[in-house]
Amino acid sequence: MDTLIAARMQMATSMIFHIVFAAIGMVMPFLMITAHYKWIKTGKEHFLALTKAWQKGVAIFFVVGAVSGTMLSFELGLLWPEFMKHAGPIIGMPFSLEGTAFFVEAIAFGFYIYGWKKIKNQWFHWTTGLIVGISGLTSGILVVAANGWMNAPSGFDVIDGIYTNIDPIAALFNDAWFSQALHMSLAAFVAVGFSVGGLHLLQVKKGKNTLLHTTAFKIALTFGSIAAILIPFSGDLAAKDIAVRQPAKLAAMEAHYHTEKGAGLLIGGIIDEEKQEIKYGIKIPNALSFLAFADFDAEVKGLNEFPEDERPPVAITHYSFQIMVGIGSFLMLLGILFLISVKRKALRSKKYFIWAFILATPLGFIALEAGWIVTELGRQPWIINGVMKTKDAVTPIAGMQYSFYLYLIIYLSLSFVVFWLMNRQIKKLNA
Amino acid sequence: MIVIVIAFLFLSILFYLVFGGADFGVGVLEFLSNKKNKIITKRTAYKVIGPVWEANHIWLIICIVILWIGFPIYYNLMVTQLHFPLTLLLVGIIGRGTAFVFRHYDAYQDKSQQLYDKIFEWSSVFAPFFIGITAGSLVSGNMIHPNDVANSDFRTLYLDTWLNPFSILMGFFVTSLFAFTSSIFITGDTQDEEHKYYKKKARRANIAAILFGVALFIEAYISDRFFLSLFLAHKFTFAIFILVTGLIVPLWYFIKKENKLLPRLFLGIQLFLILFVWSYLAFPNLILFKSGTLSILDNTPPDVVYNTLGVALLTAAVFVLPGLYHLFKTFGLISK
Repeated sequence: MDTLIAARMQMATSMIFHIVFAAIGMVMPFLMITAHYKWIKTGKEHFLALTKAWQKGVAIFFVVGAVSGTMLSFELGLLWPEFMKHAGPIIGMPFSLEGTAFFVEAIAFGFYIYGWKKIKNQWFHWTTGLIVGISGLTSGILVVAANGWMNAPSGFDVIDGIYTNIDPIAALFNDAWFSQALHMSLAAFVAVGFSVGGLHLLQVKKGKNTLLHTTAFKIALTFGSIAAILIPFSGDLAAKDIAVRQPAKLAAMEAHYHTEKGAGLLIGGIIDEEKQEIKYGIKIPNALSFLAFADFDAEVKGLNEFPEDERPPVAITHYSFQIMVGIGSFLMLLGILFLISVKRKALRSKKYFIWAFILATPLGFIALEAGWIVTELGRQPWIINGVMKTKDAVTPIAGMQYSFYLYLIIYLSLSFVVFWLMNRQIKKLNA
Repeated sequence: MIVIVIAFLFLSILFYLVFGGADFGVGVLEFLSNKKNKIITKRTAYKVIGPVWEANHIWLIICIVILWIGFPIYYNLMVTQLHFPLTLLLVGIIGRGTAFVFRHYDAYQDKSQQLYDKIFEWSSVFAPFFIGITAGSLVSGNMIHPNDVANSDFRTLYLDTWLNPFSILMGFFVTSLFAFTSSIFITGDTQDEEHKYYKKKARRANIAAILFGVALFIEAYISDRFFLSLFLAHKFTFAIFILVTGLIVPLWYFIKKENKLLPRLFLGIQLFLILFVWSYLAFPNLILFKSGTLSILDNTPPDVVYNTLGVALLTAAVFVLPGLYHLFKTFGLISK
């Protein structure tokens, strides 16, 4: 394994794991304080029990998220020193703000989790929980903004290889930050809402602690469903953005090899990258042009417009994109179904309803991962789109595969332990 | 603005040493405790650091971010030449953070606790050791100047930079220093038997820190390190050195008097002075190289970077510092 591949594998592994922890850290506090709010308002015991149970979950995920975040902040430097050397002064801004948000979150979390007895005013206590949620979400948005800059670099010029005219504010508010941050925040709510809801519904089905688990399902799905219905819009925004800024990424997402006016939207299909052929796919005429440019006859650039060494990998990008969109559409339908069931309670005892939501448990996260694979692989071979190639950013140290194995083992064991701990939490809750 | 940014860097390192240090030190103490006292240490540790431990470690992130944005050349040197100790430090941080939470939040208190404890204790020693190694390497004079990187081999660049007696002694020094910090914190929050026990621990950690400190200077003398000549060249710094050592006397006096806050204050001053002496001596050439110098002020990014970073840090301070103060106060770390 050469250094570049090893470094990329390590980065991918780290991101794949961190995204899960980060999304949970961004969303769970909101579920928790909703239960807490209900407890203060109604005084019903099961709301308190749920709040405390979720609090333990938040604590575990917060720490694992913080630890894997710390790992990433090291890894960025250890793996991509050349990138970091140039990018730091330009795009460090959101990271310094993220550091602050993270700090606020940790302080508020200290108050919240240890404050049940110490803090006399219960609304003040509740507010510290709200601050945990807001700062967690803010952290996520800031980090995604930095990623947006890698896709839509701004706030500097490169003159004779020297990065100059640096403007950190312009870099922070790059063209991609808003659509990416919005899409990611909604995705986090979908993923966490559906998976938490699904897990609790499974317990209801098993007939354990029904009141608590039903309540948990309702709270989680309220957040999840609303986000699932909104997310196609943020996705559309992001796609239109990509069409303008990163035509090569869009072409890879759609396995669109040849420039075409009135291009069709490819659904499914098996890609042969060697022959540049697609088998078994369905094409919806003119739909790609419309979705990308709001014009049925617009020209969509194909991969043929880009030199061989500036094309992203097509097959993985396309498949990931399909998975994301497919799951997103399915969860949107489930979201609508859930909102209908708020009025028509009878729906909720239907077998298909219960099974659909239980099966949806992992789907949001799969879509989230797929979406990030599209974002990251679709930008290749660039680390800073059009400015610096990934191969020019990598560390000079040899033997990086061992580093990759080490991190792989760490992340796998972390995931295993977290999974095991959550299982035990649920067992205890039902005991 | 660059002055403000450097001040924040200094402050973050100091706070990480004091609070992160106390935090790591608890684990070092637990590592060194016998079976019976381990349980006491575990309980006390949770009480003393539980609410603040997460916040304690964010100082490290702030340091990294400031270095990365404001001083990318220094940052780049560290993450390449000190790749190995930093990776190992990271392993320590991961093991510790996760084990701490697992052992306190696991739904059941069963056999798995023993595993969490083992991970917590070992990684609590591991992490400070590599913090020390990293710090030691930066001043060891073994770092390679960017101009010489191209004609240096793997060993000189990535191993000798940190795998040397000076850096390793610094690793031991920092580990014992953290154990000392932590036992000072805990003595303030314990009574009777436990108080006595941690007083004993504090004494031992203090002696260990002094011994490793002396060993560091001896090694620097034998290996003729620039670090030492810098140190001996200034009378003023020598006076501060005497002051740092001398502060041990009132510190122990107030421990004997069972005063909770003053020993913490004196220790804080000591750590401040150690850091201050070093910065004063070396500034602006904060990293020492085998040959050549590189100022922290060389090749810096344009002013606009420091202006935005400075404003961000000042704004952050407005949010973070009062919150942190209240957190510490509410949970009795800086109040009686």
